[in-house]
Amino acid sequence: MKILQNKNLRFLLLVAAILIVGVSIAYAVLSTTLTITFSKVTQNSIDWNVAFDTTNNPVEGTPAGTSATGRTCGDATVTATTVTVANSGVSKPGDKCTYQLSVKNTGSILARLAEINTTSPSVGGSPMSCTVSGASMVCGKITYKLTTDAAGSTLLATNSTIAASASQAVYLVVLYNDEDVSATTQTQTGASFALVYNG
Amino acid sequence: MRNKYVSTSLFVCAFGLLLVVAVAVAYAALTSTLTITTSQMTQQALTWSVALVPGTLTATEGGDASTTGRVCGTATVTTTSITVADTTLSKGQDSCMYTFVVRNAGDISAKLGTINTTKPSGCTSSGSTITCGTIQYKITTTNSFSGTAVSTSNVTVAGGADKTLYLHVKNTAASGTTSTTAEYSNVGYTLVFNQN
Repeated sequence: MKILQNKNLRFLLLVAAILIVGVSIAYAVLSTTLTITFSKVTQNSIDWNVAFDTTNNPVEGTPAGTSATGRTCGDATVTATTVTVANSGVSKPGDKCTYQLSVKNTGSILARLAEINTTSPSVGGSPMSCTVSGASMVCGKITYKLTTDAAGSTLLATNSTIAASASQAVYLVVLYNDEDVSATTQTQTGASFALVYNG
Repeated sequence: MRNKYVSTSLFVCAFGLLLVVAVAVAYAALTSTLTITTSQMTQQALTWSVALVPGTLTATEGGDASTTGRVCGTATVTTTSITVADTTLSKGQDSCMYTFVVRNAGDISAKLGTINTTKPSGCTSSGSTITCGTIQYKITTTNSFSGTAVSTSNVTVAGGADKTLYLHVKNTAASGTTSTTAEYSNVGYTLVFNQN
């Protein structure tokens, strides 16, 4: 306390305090504050709904070829997630059954076909060895394929998209692929395609 | 102190697990798998067998009562060919008609898809009618020279059925006149049947 009673010392302390305040003000003059503000950020609610169109159910197979001998196009029963084709037959050159299906995107975001998975049919309980290429599966004298045209020439491909509120026509084509008739009968059971759509 | 550490660790693990499950559910909610299945697809055994009924055919002759100058050669039929022996039609309206049968022993309906003709130079053809001077060749669906000529639109043979057709050759000159001498060799047809 004696020290603070010294007049000179009190003067020095006052000068030091004024110096500190002065430096602080000078620093504040050389500083800029930048402000970034988002007015509004909205996270919209979205729907995901990709399914088969069941408006036309069952879907009749359109037969092609010459006479109906050996050819039967069973109806296709459609639910939102499955299409099941009834027992059918293609037995001679030119025989073909075509089913016009539709995949409907009633959601609010674009759907992308991410995968096309195939399951080979079985014959007499044993799985067949089929040649698979994208949406085409050749199993002996019968070819199964998914196309985007009624003629059956353009295969459905992965990465194809369906816009929100739009539909994609998909044709299931089953045809006899040989140039001659066969002396033996073969019944293939359970050939299938699984289409995986992602958002 | 140790209990507090254990509690904190358990909480962190539980939170992490919930996060993983939530992400998986969110992803699954944006995926649809659509399945297309064929129940049974049968490729039936079938046979294709369209052929002529073999044998030897004697012609039905036409023209005036006199057979002078008219000789209808016999036709030898195999499963795939008909060969008519030398024939002479000297007078106007002389004719020979051969009845032959196309047999479809297979399972599939057949139709006449193509008619090709073979003819020497100077002859003309229209459909199944070949004309060489006054001599005319024709295949018909009825047993008359003036009957309906076969065409790709009027000949079908169901599986397991027969179709009878008629092969004609006629001197179309007016009755009683004498034809100019002429010879025409190797006039013929190729009939191509396809599945109907």
